[in-house]
Amino acid sequence: MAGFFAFLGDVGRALWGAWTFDTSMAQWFGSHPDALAISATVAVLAGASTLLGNSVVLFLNRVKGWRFALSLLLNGLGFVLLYLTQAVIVIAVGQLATGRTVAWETVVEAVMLATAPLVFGFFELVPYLGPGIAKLLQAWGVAALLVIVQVVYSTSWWQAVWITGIAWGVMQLVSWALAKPLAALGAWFWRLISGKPVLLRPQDVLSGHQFMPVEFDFQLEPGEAGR
Amino acid sequence: MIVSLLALLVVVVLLFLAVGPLEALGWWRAEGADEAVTTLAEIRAAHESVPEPVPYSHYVVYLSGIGAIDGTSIPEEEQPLIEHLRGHLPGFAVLNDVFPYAPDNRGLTAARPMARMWSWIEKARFANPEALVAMLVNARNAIQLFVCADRRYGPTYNIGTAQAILHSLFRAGYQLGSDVPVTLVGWSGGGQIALGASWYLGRAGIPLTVVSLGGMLSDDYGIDELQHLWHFRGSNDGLEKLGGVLFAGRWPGAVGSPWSRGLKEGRISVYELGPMQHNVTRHYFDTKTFAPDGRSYLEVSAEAIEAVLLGTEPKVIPVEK
Repeated sequence: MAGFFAFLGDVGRALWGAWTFDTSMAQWFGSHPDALAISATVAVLAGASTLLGNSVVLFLNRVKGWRFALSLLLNGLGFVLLYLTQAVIVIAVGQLATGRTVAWETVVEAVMLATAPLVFGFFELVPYLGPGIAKLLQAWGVAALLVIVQVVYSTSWWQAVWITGIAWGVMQLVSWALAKPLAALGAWFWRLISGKPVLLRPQDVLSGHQFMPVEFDFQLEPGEAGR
Repeated sequence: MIVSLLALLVVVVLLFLAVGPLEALGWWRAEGADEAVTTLAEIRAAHESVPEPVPYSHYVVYLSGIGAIDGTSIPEEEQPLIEHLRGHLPGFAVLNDVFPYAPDNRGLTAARPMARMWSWIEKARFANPEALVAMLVNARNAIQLFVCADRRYGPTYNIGTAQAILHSLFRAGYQLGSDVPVTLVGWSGGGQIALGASWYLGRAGIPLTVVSLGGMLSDDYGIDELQHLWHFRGSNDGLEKLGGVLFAGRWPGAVGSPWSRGLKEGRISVYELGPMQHNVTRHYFDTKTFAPDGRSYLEVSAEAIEAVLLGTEPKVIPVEK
């Protein structure tokens, strides 16, 4: 039990270090025997919180029970895949930019640790300010990754900016390119498990425009309204 | 140390804000969508039948500010305004049985997990209208105001409040298709709730207007469905001004927003009522502070609302710049 609490304490220390860009933690974290487990825990917490923050569309589509849990799980897998992709890009760009080879575990740990700000992803639920908070958290995550990359590659600030910037840019491109096929796949899967078409997509909810949340058109027939 | 405490405070406040929409989302998922389907069927059926005579010439629904505990348990200071409207508008139905801060019209003391706490606060406020603990009601309801204004939550939350308003109208004999006008009078947060519900009420074919008294209004899409919005504000009302700052669609550059559209089309009239504050003293309901013409601030507010409902020009207190 004491070991568990010690581990939780270490997760807390890693989170605080990533939130505050504390580079003095690098030595402690790099030599920690549970570094991979700590960073994975950070990523899981960040993923779970972000998914809760994004769960509005599940509520609006009236997803309940095991379907709600399954949707969160699938989104969680998507979250992990996204950040693994980012780790691969950082490894590739980092090696090209610095000429140094860093162990893939170290980069994966670094990328997972950089998700620490997304532990607050739940705050995307905050009314009105939520989408803005989500963008701030993403920016905070990119800044954390920048600092961590600088430490991991023992490189200059500008070189770290290049590596992080390219990794971030490629991630955005990949997300943009895969958005439609993934949405189609998601809709297919949704029909498979629910037997119903997707009523509302995340982009409908986040468009900033009025959307119709139920299975009908509220507009009355011409001539009906205000007779 | 101070920075850490401040950060902790921010996190706690954000946590309260983040759980705010869960009530409305849970309602929608459990029963709200089904209720909406039933209500739409009612609306369609009503439009397909010939409307019966309506007992009133105009319907007014009063939506209280964020101090409301349920439709009728509202801060004492607001009651004289409702009584004034009832006494000075013959032929009008003035309704106040809608609780604007829950999509299922369920007051805070109704069957809820925290009902006991809200009942206790209600009693404390009854004993002392200035009781500090009553601020919890304001905080809880203020979060719902932002849920209503949020483009993600608003479309479902506002179905709930629109239904509650519609059912209140039906109880008072209103008939869809009768062309009898309806005005939502919203004080403070009630102004925003009125705008949110307007999108659906307008689409249900109701000739609809809104009067906002010190409302903290957003650029809600409900404005597009309004025939007119009269917005009364006090020149010393900081909370009303906050609406124009917080909601980007009300900024002068937001040319495509429903608010800007309403202004451009002349469907929004903004009046400076006088040097009123939002609350505490010298506010819209103050019976002890008087305008130079001898009217109390309450009379100024009530008569202004009465004037626009009767189609006349409201008489405001000139404010020296």
